[in-house]
Amino acid sequence: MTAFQRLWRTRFGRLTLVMGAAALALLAFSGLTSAQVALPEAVSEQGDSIRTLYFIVFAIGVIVFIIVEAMILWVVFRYKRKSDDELPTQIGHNTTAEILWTGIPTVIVVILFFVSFFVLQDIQAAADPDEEVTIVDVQGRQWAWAFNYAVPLGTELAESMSADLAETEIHLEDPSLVVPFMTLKMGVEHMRVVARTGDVVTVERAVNGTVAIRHSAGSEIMRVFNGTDTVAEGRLQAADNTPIVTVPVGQMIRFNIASADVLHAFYTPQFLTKLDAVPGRVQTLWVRITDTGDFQSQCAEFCGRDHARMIYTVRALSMAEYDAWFEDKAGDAPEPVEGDFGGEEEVEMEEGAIGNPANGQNLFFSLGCNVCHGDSGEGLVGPTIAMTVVPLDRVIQQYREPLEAMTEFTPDQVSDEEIADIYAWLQSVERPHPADEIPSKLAELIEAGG
Amino acid sequence: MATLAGAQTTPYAGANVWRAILEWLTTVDHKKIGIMYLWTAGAFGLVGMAFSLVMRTELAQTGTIISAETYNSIFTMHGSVMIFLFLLPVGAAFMNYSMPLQIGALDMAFPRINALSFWIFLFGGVLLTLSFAVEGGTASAGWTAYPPVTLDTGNNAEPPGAGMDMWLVGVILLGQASIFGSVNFLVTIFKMRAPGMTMWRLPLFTWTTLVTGLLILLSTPVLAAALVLGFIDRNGAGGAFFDPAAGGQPLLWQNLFWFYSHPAVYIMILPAMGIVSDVFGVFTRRPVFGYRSMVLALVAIGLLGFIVWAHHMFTTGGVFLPFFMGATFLIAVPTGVKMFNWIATMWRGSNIFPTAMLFSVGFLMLFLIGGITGVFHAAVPVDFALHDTYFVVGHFHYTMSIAATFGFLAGCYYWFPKMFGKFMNEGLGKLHFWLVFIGVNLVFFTQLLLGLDGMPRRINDYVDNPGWELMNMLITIGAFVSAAGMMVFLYNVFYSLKWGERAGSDPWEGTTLEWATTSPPPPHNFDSLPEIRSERPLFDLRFGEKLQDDPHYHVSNGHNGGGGAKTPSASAREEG
Ligand code: HEM
Ligand SMILES: [Cu+2]
Ligand SMILES: [Cu+2]
Repeated sequence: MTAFQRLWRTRFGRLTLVMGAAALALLAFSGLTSAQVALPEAVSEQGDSIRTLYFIVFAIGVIVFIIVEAMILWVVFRYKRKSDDELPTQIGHNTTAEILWTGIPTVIVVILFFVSFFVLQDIQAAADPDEEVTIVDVQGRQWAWAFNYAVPLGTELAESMSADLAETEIHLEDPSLVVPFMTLKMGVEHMRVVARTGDVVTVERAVNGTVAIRHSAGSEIMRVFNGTDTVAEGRLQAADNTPIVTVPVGQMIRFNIASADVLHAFYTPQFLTKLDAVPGRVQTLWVRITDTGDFQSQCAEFCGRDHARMIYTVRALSMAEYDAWFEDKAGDAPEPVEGDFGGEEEVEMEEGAIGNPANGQNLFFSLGCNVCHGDSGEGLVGPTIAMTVVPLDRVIQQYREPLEAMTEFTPDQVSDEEIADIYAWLQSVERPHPADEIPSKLAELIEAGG
Repeated sequence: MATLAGAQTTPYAGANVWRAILEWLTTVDHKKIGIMYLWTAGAFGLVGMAFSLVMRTELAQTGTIISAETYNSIFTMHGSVMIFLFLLPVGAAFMNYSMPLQIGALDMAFPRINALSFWIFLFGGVLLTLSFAVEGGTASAGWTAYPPVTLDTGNNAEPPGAGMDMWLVGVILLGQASIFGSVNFLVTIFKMRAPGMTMWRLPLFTWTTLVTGLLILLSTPVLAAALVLGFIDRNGAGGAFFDPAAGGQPLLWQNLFWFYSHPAVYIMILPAMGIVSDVFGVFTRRPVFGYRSMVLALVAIGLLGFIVWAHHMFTTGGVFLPFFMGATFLIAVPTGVKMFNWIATMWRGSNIFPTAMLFSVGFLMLFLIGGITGVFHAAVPVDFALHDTYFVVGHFHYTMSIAATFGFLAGCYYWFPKMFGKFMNEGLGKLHFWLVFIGVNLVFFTQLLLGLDGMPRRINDYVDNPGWELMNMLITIGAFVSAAGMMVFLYNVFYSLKWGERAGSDPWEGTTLEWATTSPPPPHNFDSLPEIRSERPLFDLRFGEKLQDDPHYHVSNGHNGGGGAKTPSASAREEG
């Protein structure tokens, strides 16, 4: 008789063998898959706290699992019917045991509640009021992310105003600092400048601007710029360009999370946390990052067709590198513009075609073109289209039967005339980069004389 | 003419088939309705399983085989079919079939409403299925259907088509079927018990039916409200309940939806818990340990189940976290009580392990992992990391989906002889059990690990992080192993219907009243009933005398119901 058989003969031996085999299988399994039974290493202070809590819960869970699983295996292996007329004990309850197995779990979950509660307080704590913080306005959209930053405009709100209208007029102490298409920020709200007549600046709520807040005179006004970089190398089919949000290490970061359309969720696994982007709300996630590096992240709330492709990267830089990046991105303040602009007047296009660029600009934003092509058509996830050299009929065709990953637009959604308006506006914006980024297939078509 | 001639030569048999079909179509017999629920739900379950295999094939490796639209439609229909057309109606099937037998009743309190409820369910199910054929395909926003992605808001890039409306209407109908069913269960339990069948003598499966009925009755109308509002939002002028662009509140849907759907997870798991409780009682020859604390735990779970809904919304930023965290943690306590009671039932038992018992023990092991991972989610900061990853998928499959399915499979093996008068094949049953048990653990344990590593749910393609492709491949293999197990089960069902060993009226030495009548039972259920002096009348009959001197063995002497306990159904019929 082998040792194995001898062991198998006793009930306790069988139990040990079964448990041992299961443990070995699990070990082999996690070795094979290189899986960890832990959350990822955190790269933020808050994530560290969450990970500690995870290990507490995990330890309790494993202990409970082993005890209860052993009990199950024990009763299964130990108590078998030996003869047909065997009658076991009819003990139907035991008050002591029942109090114990109600009481002990209660104590455990009450302790877990308090531990979790304090960790929750800790990770949700805002920055100290006098502490310097980095603010990033995160916009989720089907199916891309935009990361906006803001710098002071250099002027203040002159009169109190209520922002609960889609389009509203504001008075600034120095309205000349406002230039066409600029996005302003008051509190957490974004407002795009539509027109200016004399002292009156007409603004329209942009993506973050869906909360009605009263702003009082003297409120600080910021100028918003899109700080989204992109990584070119593809990591998923059809997600070749993933947006990057750049942030500093060491400082408290306040992510203001908003959505332009449906639900999304801002989820960076190495922060060990996530927060939904709920249309109509601006929500705050506080993170203090501890390590530099690129951290792959992804939308975590189902948001329609290309949910799986809403990937982004968090790029954490040292404070000095971040400052340099920020300077560079923010650029110089725009030159003040005298006189009026915007409104409804028609602008003549270069090749004689007529369109209404003001309307085109509105459409460009309301249709969401800016998400992929950038706020002034400079190119983001999608190619540069400012001052495009593609002829108008080709552009219309691109709307109707998109090449590459663009969304299709039917004539019901945007008419040919409206596309001409957008086209007119695109001709009027300044082209930031040389004209080298026409989409490849479009370029081929143009060369082929199509 | 050949068919006509054929019909003429055997007119009797042909007429019989039509008569039989007509009889099933018009039946109001709770047993037949239960069996129809079982077949229909089983068929939908296979469809749902087929969907899961499509998903697992897509996810086995990175890259895509089917389009994102198709994938989204398939995962949505997988969840919707499994929950609304498989788990809920399978529960209804057993509650319909067994509960009236267990309390010694003739039928349900409202037999015709019972039939109506089945046909509404079937109609709702067909409506959901037909949405594959309409333009734009099925609903594709998950079984949770969170707006605004379900709405045509003007901002939504790809508003869903008519399939979404069919989903909303279909689920309203399914909810209506549930509500009819629940009223019926409750009234039947309260009003139709045989003499001597006091509340504290109800079999545990009947107790779970009672609590399940209450949960359905109190929560389903809230879901119906949400669905109607959603339908108005999509189709009415105005509305704007959930559309933020028009001033609506997307989170309102989530609150309403989970106010139903958290209780709903208990609506699905409680009947399964009831089944395994009964199975443990029979195959251990012991009273289910802590009978009263089992009932109290059941009621506690039912009550707590109504105040934890927002634990599905921890990351929305719109929830008062400490309250829902505390309530969720508390639910682990009654759940633990049940677990310990089941184990204590087997302790010192005279245990045998036919397939029904294997699935019940499997239920315990799966539910243990499910419960423990639930505590991970209850700790809100940990949930911030795990929510909407594959960890959640692993968690709720371990509890609601797979554990519940194990309970129901135990129920199939256990009650099959009662329903059809034949045993299911035990050899095939054991093969079925081991294939499925190994398969699902491979699937869902690996999913827990993937979730820890940060893979989000509801994606049709993933970045190849270290180990992800391997883990996904293992999950796919596990899925196919489980599916193979279910094929064995399917074969076993048909094999046993035809060639199964004949079973007598009480093949398992059952303890509850359904075993006191023939297999299958006559239309009026019972010719006579034994005396009911405890929650195990048949056990008392079989072993009562032998156990007379056992100080732990209790039966009450009084009949509690007057002298009519001998043949209540016969006398009831005379009176009726
Ligand atoms: C110890 C007991 C349990 C606790 C503490 C618990 C806790 C939780 C929590 C906090 C969540 C939310 C996770 C998230 O989405 O981030 C969750 C999800 C879920 N749980 Fe449980 N749970 C328990 C048992 C159960 C049972 C018994 C069932 C089924 C009958 C169940 C079914 C589900 C389902 C279906 C979901 C997720 C649904 C979805 O997101 O689509 N849970 N559970
Ligand atoms: Cu998404
Ligand atoms: Cu829940």
